[in-house]
Amino acid sequence: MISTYLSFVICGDLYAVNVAKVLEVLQEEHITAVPNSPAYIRGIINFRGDVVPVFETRVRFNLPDRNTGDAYNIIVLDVSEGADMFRLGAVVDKVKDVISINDDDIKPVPAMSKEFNTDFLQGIYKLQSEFIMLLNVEKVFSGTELKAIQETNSIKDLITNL
Amino acid sequence: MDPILQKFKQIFLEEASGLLDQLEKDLLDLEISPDNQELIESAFRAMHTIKGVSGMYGFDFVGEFTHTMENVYQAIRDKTLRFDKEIFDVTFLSIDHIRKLLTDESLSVPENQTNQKVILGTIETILAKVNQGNANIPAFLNQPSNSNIQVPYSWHILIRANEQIYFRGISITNLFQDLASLGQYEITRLDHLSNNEIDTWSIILYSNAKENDIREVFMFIEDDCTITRLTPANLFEEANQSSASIDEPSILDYIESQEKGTKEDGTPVNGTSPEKTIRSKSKADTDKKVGKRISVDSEKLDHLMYLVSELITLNSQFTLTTSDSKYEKILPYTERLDNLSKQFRNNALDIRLVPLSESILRFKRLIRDLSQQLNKDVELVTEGIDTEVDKGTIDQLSDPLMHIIRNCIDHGIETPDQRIKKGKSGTGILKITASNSGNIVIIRVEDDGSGIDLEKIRKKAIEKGIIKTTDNPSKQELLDIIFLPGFSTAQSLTEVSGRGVGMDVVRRKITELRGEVYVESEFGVGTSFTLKLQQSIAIIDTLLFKVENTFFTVAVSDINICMQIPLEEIEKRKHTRTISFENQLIPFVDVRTCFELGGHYGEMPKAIIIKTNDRQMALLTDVIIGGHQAVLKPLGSLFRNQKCIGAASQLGDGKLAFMIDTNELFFKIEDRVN
Repeated sequence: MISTYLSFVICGDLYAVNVAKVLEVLQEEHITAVPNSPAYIRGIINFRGDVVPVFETRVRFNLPDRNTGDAYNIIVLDVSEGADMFRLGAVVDKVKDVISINDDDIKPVPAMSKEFNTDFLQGIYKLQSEFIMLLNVEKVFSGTELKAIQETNSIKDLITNL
Repeated sequence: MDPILQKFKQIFLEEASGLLDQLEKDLLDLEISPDNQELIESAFRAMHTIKGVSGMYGFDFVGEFTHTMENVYQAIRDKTLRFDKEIFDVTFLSIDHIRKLLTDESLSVPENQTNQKVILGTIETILAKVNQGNANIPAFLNQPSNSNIQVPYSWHILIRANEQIYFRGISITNLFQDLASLGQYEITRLDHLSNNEIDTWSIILYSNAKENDIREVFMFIEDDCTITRLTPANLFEEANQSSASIDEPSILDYIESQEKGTKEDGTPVNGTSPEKTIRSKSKADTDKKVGKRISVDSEKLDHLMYLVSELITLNSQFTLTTSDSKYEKILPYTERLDNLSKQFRNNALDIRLVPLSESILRFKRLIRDLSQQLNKDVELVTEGIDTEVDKGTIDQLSDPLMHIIRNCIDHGIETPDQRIKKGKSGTGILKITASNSGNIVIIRVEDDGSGIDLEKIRKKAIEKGIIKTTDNPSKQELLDIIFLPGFSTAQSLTEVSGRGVGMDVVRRKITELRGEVYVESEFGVGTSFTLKLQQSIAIIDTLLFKVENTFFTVAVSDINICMQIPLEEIEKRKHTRTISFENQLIPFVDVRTCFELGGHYGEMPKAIIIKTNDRQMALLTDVIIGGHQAVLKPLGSLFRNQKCIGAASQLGDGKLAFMIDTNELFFKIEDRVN
């Protein structure tokens, strides 16, 4: 089966996500930092009328911090967590291309550096001379931290009432 | 299933539950005045309609069930049976049962199967009694009216149909097919009485059907038609033979006068029988309701609110970017746009408002069941319950109100014996009052029961370690203890209340709704709970302020006053984290430190004094910017730990400002103390 992927750059490396998950790519949208939140959350944006949290992929991938003033893009994604859907933004250095990939051409993930959590990857694809790491967005954005969220939804309840 | 059928089924379900609510309401009123014909008619009609429509959508069990139930009410209508407690009880059970059947159309739940049998059994027993008691008169044939005569008659039916009929999806064609099955008929469209809005038809029918059967055909439009029995003669034959054996002119005169009457005052002329008068009176009531209210899918409303909030945000962005003098030319337009979008917003908010009465009437049933269960005699008195509150609030309000009402009946109101001993009337009064002023809605629930025993609370609180024996709390402080988690003074746990999860849940819920709840009580005299709520909570007036580069808002309704405080004042009492305000010390929250924003305050930090639930605190900030109409957006579950900032709203330049949850901040302060 052939699927379409959106490729982007983080710290010089090429990554891609299935476009089925992607809602929109935003240019340098202003991100409002949320006080007292973990480092991998850059803040929130107003997306189509809802507040959407924005994740810093560099922190998530244990990569060096982004310098203030550096250009960035935000990819808005819908990530499923069980039966629920989470909408979130992922900060990447630069969105590159939309590519079609045949499932059969996806190579398994090799052993990698300890620093990088290979659970985040669904496979590797070779495009000409470059390797693209295909992300498993469910794993990247719904690790234990996100799972804990579902235990207490008091705030969510509270807010829905507002 | 066919999506169209599915949609109709959904409409049926909504209608049926509306009819059940109506039926329940009628019954509660009938309990007070069991001889009110108007109410009996209304209850019967509701049942009859449920029966008729349920068959159409395959709810056969509902149909079968209502049919049996209807027989009881037919007998009551015919005065062969009188209401007694058994009938009321079984009808209430039936209503509950039908509600269940609506979600279990194939009767597959074993519990429902048993219930169906048991309730039907009870109804049959009641019906059997009717037939026994009236052995000499067949049950359904002893009405004083001659509506059951089965000799053929000529009938005149006048239909005045407005567009509503088409909207309600009633098929006129089917109606006429049914009519044809009754006998010979002739329809004339009365052009001189029809206009764009209303179609008028005059129908002459010669049929040997019973009046009820004829009425059944017109069941769905019965409010729009008048059915009159004319003469035993066949008008069609008479016309053909042009004989004058019947007083034809008078009949024609009659028909004409009916039509004229309709034209003159817009409502059908009433017949002479009392039954008809009653019918038309209740007709006027329902017409009024139909005309005044429409029901809308709440999702559509939510979407409207979303669009409005986007418009408000866009409008403020637009106003901000065009404030430059070079846009002077379009200034009048931006001003108009601003004005219009504000009106639009107010209007949309207004649409979301629904009267409290609907949910309060639902409590009538709860009160009835509870007082029976507890052998108490309780009368519900309401005042101002047409006060309107945001739809979302009403939905969230029902649980806390229910808890309060349960408590009033269970712990407050005494049994009739006890009451009489105390010199009170045997019937306890539960009073629900609602009123609004500005954006604030006040709901009061009070009982004239035993009141709260402060000594008992004191003992219990000491026992639970909430207060010390040496403490000397004020009356209000003692009363407020009932809102603490896990506190309950009930002697024994009852099914009704007293699990200690009542009043704290009430306070939490009301607080979540940005409201407040107070209790007042006089031992031996009664207790009252007062809920203070915001009428609309989706878009609220806030004060915008800034610390470093982060914007915050706080609800204007929470603010007492804004002031400047010299930094040295704050430094002086820094270790106690209090400031002096109006001759007393109040705690302050340093927003900078609280949200880890870094930087330092200037010489003159601004303080926003917050006052809710009679508690006060000061928020320290850098700059107070001004008023901001906040369209609140939830932060999402990811930020669940951010208890003090529950929501955000977009500013004119696209930045987001965090809404401070003052109640959570107060909790935080209390934690600090502990």
